[in-house]
Amino acid sequence: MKAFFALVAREISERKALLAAAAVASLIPVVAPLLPTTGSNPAGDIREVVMWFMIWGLIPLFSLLLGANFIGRDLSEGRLGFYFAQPLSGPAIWFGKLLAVAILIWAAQLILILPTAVLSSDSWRIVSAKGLIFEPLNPWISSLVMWIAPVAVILLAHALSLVWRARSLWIVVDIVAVVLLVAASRWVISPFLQIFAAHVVLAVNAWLLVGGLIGLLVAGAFQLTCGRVDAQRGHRAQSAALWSILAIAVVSAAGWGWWIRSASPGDLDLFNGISVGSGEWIAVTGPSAGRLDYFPGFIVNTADGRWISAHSGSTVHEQGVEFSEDMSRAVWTTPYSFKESKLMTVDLNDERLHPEWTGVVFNRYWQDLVVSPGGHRVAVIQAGAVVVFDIESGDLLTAAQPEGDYSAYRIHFADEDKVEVLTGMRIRVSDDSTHHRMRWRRHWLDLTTRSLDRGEEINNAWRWWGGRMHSPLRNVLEKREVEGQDRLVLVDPQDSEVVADLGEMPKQWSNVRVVTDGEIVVNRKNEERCFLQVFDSEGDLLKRIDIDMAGWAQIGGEVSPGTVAVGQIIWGAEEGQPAERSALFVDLSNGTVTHVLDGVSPVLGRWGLMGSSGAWEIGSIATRLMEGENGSLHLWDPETNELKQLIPVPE
Amino acid sequence: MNTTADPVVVDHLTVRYGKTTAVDDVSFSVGSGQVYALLGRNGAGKSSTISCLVGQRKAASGECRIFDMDSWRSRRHVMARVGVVPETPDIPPGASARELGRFLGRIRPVWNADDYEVRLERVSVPRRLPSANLSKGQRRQLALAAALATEPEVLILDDPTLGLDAVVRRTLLEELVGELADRGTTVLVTTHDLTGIEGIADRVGIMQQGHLVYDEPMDGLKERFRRLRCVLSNGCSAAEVEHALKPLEPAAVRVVGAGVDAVIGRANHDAVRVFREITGIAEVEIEPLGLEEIFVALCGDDDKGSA
Repeated sequence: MKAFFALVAREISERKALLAAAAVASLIPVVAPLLPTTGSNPAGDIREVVMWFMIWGLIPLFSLLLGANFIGRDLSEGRLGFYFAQPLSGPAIWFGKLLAVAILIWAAQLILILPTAVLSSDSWRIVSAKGLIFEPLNPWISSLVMWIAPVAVILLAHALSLVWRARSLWIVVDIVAVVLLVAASRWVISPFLQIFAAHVVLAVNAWLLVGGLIGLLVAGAFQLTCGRVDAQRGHRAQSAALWSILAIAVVSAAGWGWWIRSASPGDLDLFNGISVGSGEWIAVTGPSAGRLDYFPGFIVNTADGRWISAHSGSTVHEQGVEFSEDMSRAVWTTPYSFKESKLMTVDLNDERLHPEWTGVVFNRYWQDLVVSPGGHRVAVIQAGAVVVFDIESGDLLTAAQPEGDYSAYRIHFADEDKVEVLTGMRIRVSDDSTHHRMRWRRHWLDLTTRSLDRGEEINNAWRWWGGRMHSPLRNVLEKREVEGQDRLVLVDPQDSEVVADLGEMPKQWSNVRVVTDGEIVVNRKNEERCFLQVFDSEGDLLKRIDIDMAGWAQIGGEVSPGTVAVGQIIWGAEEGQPAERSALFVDLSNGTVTHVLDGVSPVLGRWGLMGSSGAWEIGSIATRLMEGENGSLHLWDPETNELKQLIPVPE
Repeated sequence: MNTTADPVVVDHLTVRYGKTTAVDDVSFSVGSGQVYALLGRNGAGKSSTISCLVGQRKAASGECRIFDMDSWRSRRHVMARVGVVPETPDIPPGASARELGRFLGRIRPVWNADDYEVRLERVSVPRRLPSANLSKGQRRQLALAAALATEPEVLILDDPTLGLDAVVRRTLLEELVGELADRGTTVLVTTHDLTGIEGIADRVGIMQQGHLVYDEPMDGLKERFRRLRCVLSNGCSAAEVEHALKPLEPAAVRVVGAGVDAVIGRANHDAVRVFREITGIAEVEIEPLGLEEIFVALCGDDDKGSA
């Protein structure tokens, strides 16, 4: 190590003029505020802006020059033999020289920053560059980039300078390898990019980046060990090492990508999204350990445990699986490209359960997608128009654009040939107001004549909301920020004015459910205990039901008229992992707990903690699904009080 | 000739640059304490051979061994016992003599700082000036001083007198002889200063177009090669003389007026006597040759060297 550090010191000494240049340049931000053109801007701001311009301009330039010359110049001027004539190994020469230029560039950066940082009241923020960029992701990433990126530039510049200096035919290998690497990386990333699984994409990119950096590091050591003073041989060694390591990185990323996409229902940790038809099929999706924000999705038969992968997405996923009313067909979309989705389907009556592409492709930014009761047709809203396709043939049946400024908002198949369409137009409440309200119309799209009627004006669109949302409320239940606080409010759909304030709605754990008689059930918690509040449909508090729970009570579905399932989750020491669960069935009329299930909690459904206002039929499968430990899913039988395990699918 | 005891062994070495063969199947060895002069015209393959020998370039085939260690594979261990002065001094340009001494003192297993200082003093190399600011001769002296201060068991000098004036050249070589004679250091030297090396080298190897064409003790070479001058008479033609010279293994034959001036490689008494008795050849004179003359005779018509 003594020899290694002697080499580092020698190399630093060889290029110490760089530090003097940085010292001179560091004075520029200090004198910048004295220039008459800077006006009345605060001196600190001017110094900082000029300093960052200097950093982003000079440091990449220094890195580039150092990287291209710290070995390349010695090589082309025949000076590299000096170190090889000493008892120093190739890797020691490489890492010693590299460490020296890295120290120089870091020192130059620090010198450039220092005067501005010393004069600033927030020196540490400037030196660390914390939060400079990538703030939403992680404020420390900018620090990492600022101190690591110059080394990456040095490594890259060295590799390119060697290619340039060697002028060997291995450049052909390099070009082919770059093309293959880009193509392979794109192939690995593309499925995740298309579903906006940003964390997976970032992880894969970071992995490839780390692979690239390691590749360049190792390639340099190989170049000096195997090529020594021979540039062409060094180029060959560099290419062989670099592309081998990057190939390993790409193959391992591809393997990880394949593993992510090959999840089974048993891999789900939690159930964020569940859609349920009227029969025995359910569609589930949610996070899975090791898969970051990629949420695998499945269609599962609750009776016999058969399942297929369907609609895998991310936290920013699109609408999930839709079942036809007769449960003969399920449809969902998967990305076709960055701009288009393709419509997938499965015949649920077919024993093979084979997912198929319908041949239908439409704009990715569609608004609502519904399937006809018999599963023959699918309607989708695109750019305010209703488009209907035949699922079996993939043919476009009709595309209907509402008149005037109206746009389609919701659709619902009344039968195979009729689509109920809700259109709306945004209008100002009054001329002197900045508030808007919606004017709604209800239309019929006749698929036999392929015509959309003029429609009729309706007052409460939410009350209608198609056949899928049987909301008994006249007003709209909304979470709204009032004076900086999240509150649950009832809003008049006509003028968007708040009709009733149902209290605070903390972001994370509060949830609300509307039961069939129009009562609104909200979970609450004070310092001592948790409780439910029951409001009538106009927002008047009817009663308070105390629940003997340590955490927040999560209100599930209405298992029988007036009885809701309430879940309790006590979170463990490990982040995101529940330690204890239980489900209580609460009779809202008298506040009594009729039954308790240990080890499970009710599944909250696709809309998560806010709940869906009466979306589930009383006593349907949706209301009886219970989430257990380790991502297991169970179906509660109200007659026997037994739990049937659905996921993992029992052997 | 090669024995495992020889500290330096080049064994069937071939070096290629793309499709060009710079060194072709060259073998020689340098015995312990011997000074071996590897000679050849520019591009003959000397520097390529040295480059392989010091483990900086990989051979296409064959191998180089120093102290029975493969120079390529065990370069780091080999270099702990070897001093190298390259054809072009490769000392980092920013390093002064003092900094170089400090650096080498930390990385070399043996470093004789006193010897280094004394030598620098003797050859008047400034201590504080960066090597880039030194003259070519000073840089070379610095490189030599650094190599000698490591007290190497083998010293490899690639044309150490290149670009130096005659006085410096002579001083450098004389000092080298003095230094090395005391230590018994094995030396491999390539040089174009044939006069200078003549009194130093124990053995000579001559390379031509990548081939080692002569590899002999210096005394033997000088004993073998002689200048032969004669006058032609009685209608004896130059062609007849050339034919008559064949047993004497002529390296170069030149017709000068009515006479012939030749360098012969087999100047033994009997062969010369037979040549003298040939009718039409008179006034035969045999003279000893210097190394430079022998080299010119052997390599003078080698105009193809280019590697």
